[in-house]
Amino acid sequence: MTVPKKIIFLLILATLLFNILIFSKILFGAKVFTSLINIFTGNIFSLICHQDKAKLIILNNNSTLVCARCSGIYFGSLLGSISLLFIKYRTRRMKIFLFASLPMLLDVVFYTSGLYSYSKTIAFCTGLLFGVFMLSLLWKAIVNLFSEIK
Amino acid sequence: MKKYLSALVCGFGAGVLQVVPIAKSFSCCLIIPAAVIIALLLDRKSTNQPKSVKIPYRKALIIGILTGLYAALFGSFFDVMITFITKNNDLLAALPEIQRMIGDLPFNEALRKEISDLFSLIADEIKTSGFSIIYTASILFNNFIVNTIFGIIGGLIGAQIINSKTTGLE
Repeated sequence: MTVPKKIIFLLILATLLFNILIFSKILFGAKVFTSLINIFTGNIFSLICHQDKAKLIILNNNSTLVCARCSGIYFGSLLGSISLLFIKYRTRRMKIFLFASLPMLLDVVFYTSGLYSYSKTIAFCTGLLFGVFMLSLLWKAIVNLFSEIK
Repeated sequence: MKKYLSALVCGFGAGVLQVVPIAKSFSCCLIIPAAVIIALLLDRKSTNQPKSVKIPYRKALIIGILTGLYAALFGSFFDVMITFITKNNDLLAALPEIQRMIGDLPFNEALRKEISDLFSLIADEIKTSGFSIIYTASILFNNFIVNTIFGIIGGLIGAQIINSKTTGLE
């Protein structure tokens, strides 16, 4: 069963829009329409992320709307959706997903237990890895859903 | 109704966790997908389906949406109730920053003042009576959108994870 390419582009568009919102302050600066976005979406993003100021990615005094780990996950989802155009994930998707989740889980366990202090870079990278393979798993589920509906 | 009782139970649990500060900051975006996965497992148990039978993706999608909707409903209700009792919430804490952001908006002075007054009105209503209809509507709207999206994602991924156990790790 092949899913129309339109769906891949829709997925890319959705993840791209989400990433634009998350990185809006960094991408466009703080004083243009980003303030408006922040007021209206800040509350929405508070539902999906703790938005702890110490854990936000900050570039040129402008921060992301979600923490480094969440930014990694959503940016990874964007990369994952783009990769669907070029890569055919065929086998062992579940195993790869479990292995990709492991670094993120270990990072959470290690820094929570005080083994090392919180690192935005590690959080972003492990989130990114998780996001890419989470999207491939979601894609497999969408393909299965389509074949069920047809 | 009984068919989707698992969605109601897990949606209620997720709604409660959404307003518990520590749980909220630890699990953030994972609350709803985790609730949907538990709902799928509960549904399988309640219908006495053997583990070898795959969960239909359409059903997983419906349970995901319903769990998200119930979580939004209960989460909003608890949020409004806590605001009503304590006469305080996150919006009041963030108000000075919001007012500063409004000052940065590329609009004319009159419009900026109107937006600022609206936020002040909401803050005053919460401080005096503990209830604001605008705040309640915005919470409901946000929760319904976000929780439904994450419910759908959780339903599809959850079905994929659970079904992979019936066919081995594919």
